[in-house]
Amino acid sequence: MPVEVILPKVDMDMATGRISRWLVAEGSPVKKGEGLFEIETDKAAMEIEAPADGVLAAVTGREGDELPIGARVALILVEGELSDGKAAQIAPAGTAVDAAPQRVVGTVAPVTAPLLAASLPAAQERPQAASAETGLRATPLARKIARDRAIALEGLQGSGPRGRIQAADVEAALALPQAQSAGPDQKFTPEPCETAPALPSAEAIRLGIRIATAPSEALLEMLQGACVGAGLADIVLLACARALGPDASLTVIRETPEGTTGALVEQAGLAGLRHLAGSGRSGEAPARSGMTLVDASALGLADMTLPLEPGERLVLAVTAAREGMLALTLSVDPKAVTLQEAARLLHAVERALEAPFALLA
Amino acid sequence: MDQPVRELSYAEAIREAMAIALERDERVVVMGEDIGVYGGAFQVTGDLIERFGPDRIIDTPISELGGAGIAVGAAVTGLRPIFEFQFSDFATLAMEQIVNQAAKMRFMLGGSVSVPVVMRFPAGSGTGAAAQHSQSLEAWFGHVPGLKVVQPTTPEDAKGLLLAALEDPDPVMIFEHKLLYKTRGPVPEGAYTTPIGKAEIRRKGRDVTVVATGVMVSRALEAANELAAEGIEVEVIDLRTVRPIDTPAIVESVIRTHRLCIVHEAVKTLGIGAEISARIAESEAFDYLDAPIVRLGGAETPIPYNPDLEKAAVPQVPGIVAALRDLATGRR
Repeated sequence: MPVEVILPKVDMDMATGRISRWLVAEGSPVKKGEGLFEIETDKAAMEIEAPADGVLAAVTGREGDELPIGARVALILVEGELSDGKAAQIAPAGTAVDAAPQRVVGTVAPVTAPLLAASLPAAQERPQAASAETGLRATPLARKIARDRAIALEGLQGSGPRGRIQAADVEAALALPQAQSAGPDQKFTPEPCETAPALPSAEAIRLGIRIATAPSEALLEMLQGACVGAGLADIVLLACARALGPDASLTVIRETPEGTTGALVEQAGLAGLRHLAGSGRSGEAPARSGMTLVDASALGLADMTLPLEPGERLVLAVTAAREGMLALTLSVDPKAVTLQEAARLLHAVERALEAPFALLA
Repeated sequence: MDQPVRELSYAEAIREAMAIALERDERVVVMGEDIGVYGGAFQVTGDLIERFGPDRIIDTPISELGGAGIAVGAAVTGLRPIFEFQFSDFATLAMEQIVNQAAKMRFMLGGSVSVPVVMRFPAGSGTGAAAQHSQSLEAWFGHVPGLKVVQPTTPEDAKGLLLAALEDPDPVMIFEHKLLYKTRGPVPEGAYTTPIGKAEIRRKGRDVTVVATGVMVSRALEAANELAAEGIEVEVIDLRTVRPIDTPAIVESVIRTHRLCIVHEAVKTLGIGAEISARIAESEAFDYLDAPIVRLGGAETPIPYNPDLEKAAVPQVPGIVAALRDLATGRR
């Protein structure tokens, strides 16, 4: 394993430090205990020793920069080690470069000096990431959640010290629709319905889901800030629009005790919360076709099943028996939308409601 | 508890427990240096000699080795002695009696005897008594099979744990922090026991668990109050018993909060915090940790005499606040 060189704490009140001078050039061999760099504190300059034998590489702590205590400033590599998986791509053909980046360390054929040098810029690009060459950093809880929910930790950005992946990072990834394990090709993309006949409701697939949420003050405040009268149904609308992809158009119908209003939102997947929350709150409701979301949350109903209109591929009814208790009822044309796609759509919305701020970020 | 409750100091609660035991059980005797006429180095025994006489409130010579030996022998032969040290630091002089005799005798004699001795140790720093009168040595005794070790932190527990110790058939070491003697709190009247081996949650919280001992419990609670204003909810567990440690209580809490900090006054290296940290790493709570376990303990130095240095040598509220804040917000 490469050995990390970190900026040490040499003074009681020290929170950050400054490297005044490197004593060893990048790419040069060092011996454990040899002076590696000097740091300056308010009181004195101090020489920091190399923590291991090897070759100084991946120097990211530049002279004069203010750096946090514990930050990685360089690596010390032993022979045969690369500082980053990317470097393996320039290895001569025939070496074992096909493996996943984290497997590359130590498996590449003996490294020549030029190769080592070439690896350095790659490492410099992401000094804080939970990078392959040092092993993935994740807390036990983050690993457990990833295991339980079958999500890969590789590629997640860690918000903890030195890029450590914490539970919140995994949860945020889970809350994003695109974080589904199979990636973008699982994005919900219903086929256009060619004949567009009016489906008798018996032929439509209907799926329902009930979600109990406890919206925080901050979320309600943000919704009200987006549009007067906005509510959790608008989080559903946003999640839905994102799940349907950037080009999807969505008819938004608002059912209130006062009557019915609506609007067609083109490219709803690109729209922000403010735009979507304001959509369909005035104006005559257009004829439903394609994909429709009916917000009936103001009517106080436990659930509501809508038959498909001619040419309509799906219609999602959002109801709320009381505040925070949402029911989603989705009717789909089985010729245009599979049961699995429909279920994925509902679960994307469910996840969004579990972690709404991740969606808004 | 059905008994009426009133406020007592920690020292008064201990004295009341001793008086209840002396009244109801003629086998109980209190022994130690200057515990009779003088009333004890910290005035804990107080007027007991006037109420129970010199046959049961026994001043021993200035020899901890001798006094503790008499107490251990008396316990083996049928009495229920409570032996008070003037300072827990003087336990060094009595280690033979405690570690080689009291802790081992049941095992050496095939279970034919037990040693129901109770020893009380005024412990800890913060009184300006310097290095030889300020130590926190509870972990030493926690390392010895055959002993039980408790650290009451409230007047109610000081009384309940002393009465529980007297009912226990084996030697029980009670570490009483000197700064706690004058603290006051509700204490039920009459006899009751606080279970040995059970920790107590002093404050519920969802973000981080702090396990504290002795005087650090009140400091952890103070830190928790400060952090509550920032929206960080700290769960404070009072360990109460050092041996046996209530591991399930800590495991259960860490599974809920995902973060653990241990705070004690005793030196950090090889301490109770290390033991708890290892137990959590070995337990089912490991998979629920979302940050490294943090230990706060005494500095690697004898307790200094200089008052500022004395404070700096053991955890204080601002340091606990900073550590818990970093831990709860994912910066550790």
